[in-house]
Amino acid sequence: MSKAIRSIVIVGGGSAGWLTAGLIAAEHRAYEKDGLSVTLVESPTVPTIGVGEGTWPTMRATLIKLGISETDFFKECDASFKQGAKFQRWVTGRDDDFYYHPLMLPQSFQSFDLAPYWKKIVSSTKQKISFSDAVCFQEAMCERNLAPKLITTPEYEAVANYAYHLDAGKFGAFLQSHCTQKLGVRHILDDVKGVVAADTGDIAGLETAASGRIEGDLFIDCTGFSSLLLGRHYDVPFKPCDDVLFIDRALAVQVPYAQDDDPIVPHTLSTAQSAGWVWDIGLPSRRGVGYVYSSRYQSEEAATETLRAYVGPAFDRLSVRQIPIRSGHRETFWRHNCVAVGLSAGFLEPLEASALVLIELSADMIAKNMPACRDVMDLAAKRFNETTAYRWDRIIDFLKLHYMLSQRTDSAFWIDNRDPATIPESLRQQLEIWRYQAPGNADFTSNNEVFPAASYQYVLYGMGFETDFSYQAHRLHREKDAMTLFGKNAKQKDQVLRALPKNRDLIEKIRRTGLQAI
Amino acid sequence: MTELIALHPAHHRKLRVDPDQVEAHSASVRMMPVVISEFLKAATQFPLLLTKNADSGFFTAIALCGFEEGENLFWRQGEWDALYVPLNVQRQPFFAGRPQQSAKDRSDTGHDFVLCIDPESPSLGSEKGEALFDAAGAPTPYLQSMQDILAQLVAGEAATRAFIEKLVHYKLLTRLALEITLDDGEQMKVQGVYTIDEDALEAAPIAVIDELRQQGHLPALYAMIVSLGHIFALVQRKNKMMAQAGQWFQPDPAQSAS
Repeated sequence: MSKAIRSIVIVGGGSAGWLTAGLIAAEHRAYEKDGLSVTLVESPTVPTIGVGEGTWPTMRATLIKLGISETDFFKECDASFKQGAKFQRWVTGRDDDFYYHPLMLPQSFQSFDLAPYWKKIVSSTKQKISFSDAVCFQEAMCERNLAPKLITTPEYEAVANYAYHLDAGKFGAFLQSHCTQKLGVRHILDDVKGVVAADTGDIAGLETAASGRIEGDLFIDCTGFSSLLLGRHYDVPFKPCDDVLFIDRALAVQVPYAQDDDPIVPHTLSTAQSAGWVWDIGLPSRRGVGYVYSSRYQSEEAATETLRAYVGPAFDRLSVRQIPIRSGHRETFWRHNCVAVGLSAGFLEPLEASALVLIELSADMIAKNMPACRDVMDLAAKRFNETTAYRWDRIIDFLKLHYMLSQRTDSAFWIDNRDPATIPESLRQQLEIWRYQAPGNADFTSNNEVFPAASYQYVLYGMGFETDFSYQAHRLHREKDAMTLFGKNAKQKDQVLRALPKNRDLIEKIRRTGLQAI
Repeated sequence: MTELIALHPAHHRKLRVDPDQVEAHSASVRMMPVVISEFLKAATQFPLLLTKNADSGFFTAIALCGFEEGENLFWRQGEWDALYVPLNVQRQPFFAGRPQQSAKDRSDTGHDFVLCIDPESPSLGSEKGEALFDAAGAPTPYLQSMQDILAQLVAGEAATRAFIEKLVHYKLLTRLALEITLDDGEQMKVQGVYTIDEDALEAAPIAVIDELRQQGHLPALYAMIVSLGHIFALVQRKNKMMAQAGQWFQPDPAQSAS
């Protein structure tokens, strides 16, 4: 009989390590006698990278799985609501240039495609209503800094779909105490000094500085950029994608609010610059702001100047963190009995907050498809590798879409981003199709998609991409239904704008008195 | 909302309250706040539920009086049509205010609250109804009975809060989704109300049940469960009302007069 998988060892204690530990411990009942054993080894000296302050709505389901109260999460993690992203100056670079990628689908998206009808209205009446504003009420809420729910809405439920902004450092500490106190995760603070290899090539155990040898059946590498197990021990090659995505540096600052009651912006702001873009994330106590740029196109001095211009006079009092970025991922993610999750697997610029969601998806897949015994682990690994590689490719495609659709001509960075040689073939083919029809579910047939067709619609039509619907005029005769849906959206917009509180007001109320669980 | 005024024998010597007008305050109250001390009486006729305060998100206990905003099916043809009149109806137009001013400015209630009135209440006047103070400026038996009701409400609110906190803490609440089809086919939904989760109660450890018993919460808890049946009676009231409304509207009075 093959050896059962009973003991899981996770190396590294950032968001990746604790989310993975928590999801496996919850699924496999590490807190019970008959559950799997889950151990997390964390170096007491290596600091976590602490980026990744934006999540997807998937984080709500993740926190529910972990058995975490949303009220506690808000109180402990300096968390705020996020309802999507606002992209400024990405298209023309002018001051009034912006579009939204909200978190709600267009009205009735699963049964009716409004895109061609929106196009018709805009081109026939010269009405200047944006795609996202016409088909979804979330842009209007974001523009007014409204919260996505009421104080009477139960935990994790929404009036408008939402994700979070959070303080990654606090989030890690919060998950640590929850995982160790509630979910039965064993926590070892020690430095890993070496890997003990078995004859089979598997990892038999880890040698630590003070805790002796830690044995296990499955080892999960959450060691960040150093990729201690998958990268260093197994020497799995890194596959860069800097030929597609040019970003290779980040400068990050934490900006205090000027006034205590300044609005907490309920979406991620992304403002394009001459050689990259600035992220701006509103937490209750501060903003997290950073400039990701390409050092091929801009010097560090000029980049610092760009960030200073964005932040304003307060900049000179702030300490700037520099983070080198290597865009890309490992060629495979699971080898032998070792799988990498988080930065050890790869990294991409935080343009669509893909870091934390990939951790959630990977950890969830490992937890749900935990191989029963060593005999079937290689098959589990094969599936995991195929799915994860597919997901990385789709994210790279989607990020590149934002750059290649830009019309900016003010720098070589933007012009070179449109060079066909830098565009992945899979993305090029999709765009060929979308010249004549809107992105739909038929374009995305995997069970493991990351971005839905609706996200592509928001970016394409937000950025002024032209689809020529004339070839299918014969099937676009449902104007009345379309008008009903546009009307429904306008009515719901009215209702939510009247009913929902300001983002800061609700968050402060939650921190004071909490949300009800039901 | 109107500004409440503290009652004072010098200022309100001649004021009277017309009891016939008192209940009119509740004519359009769909969810009547109730306190735990009146649960057993109220449970004889009203569905007792919890709802959330729109401002704080905290649960409050209510007697359900109607299905639509502004609908009170216990208010019929100008009077309160129920065996039990909730304390929050009886106490009108009086309110318990927090003592803010110096002690000599307020009427002596013997309680730790200030008796206030809603000066815009239609039940107030100087001719008809019950006097509040006698010739010597002392509270009349009527006013004393109102003070007693308010004292019950003030004490009851704290007790009700303690009861609800236990229900929340032990996860004994569940959302109630009411989908009602009336005789005329109209469909209605009542949302935002909560009741006892009977499965959770069934599964609760004996220590929890014992704690609730010791704190005297069990009768109120079962009163809530039993009272759910009154939702059907409430639907029946609604059906009757609709049928009557239908009759009134059929012969157009203007036409039959001509």
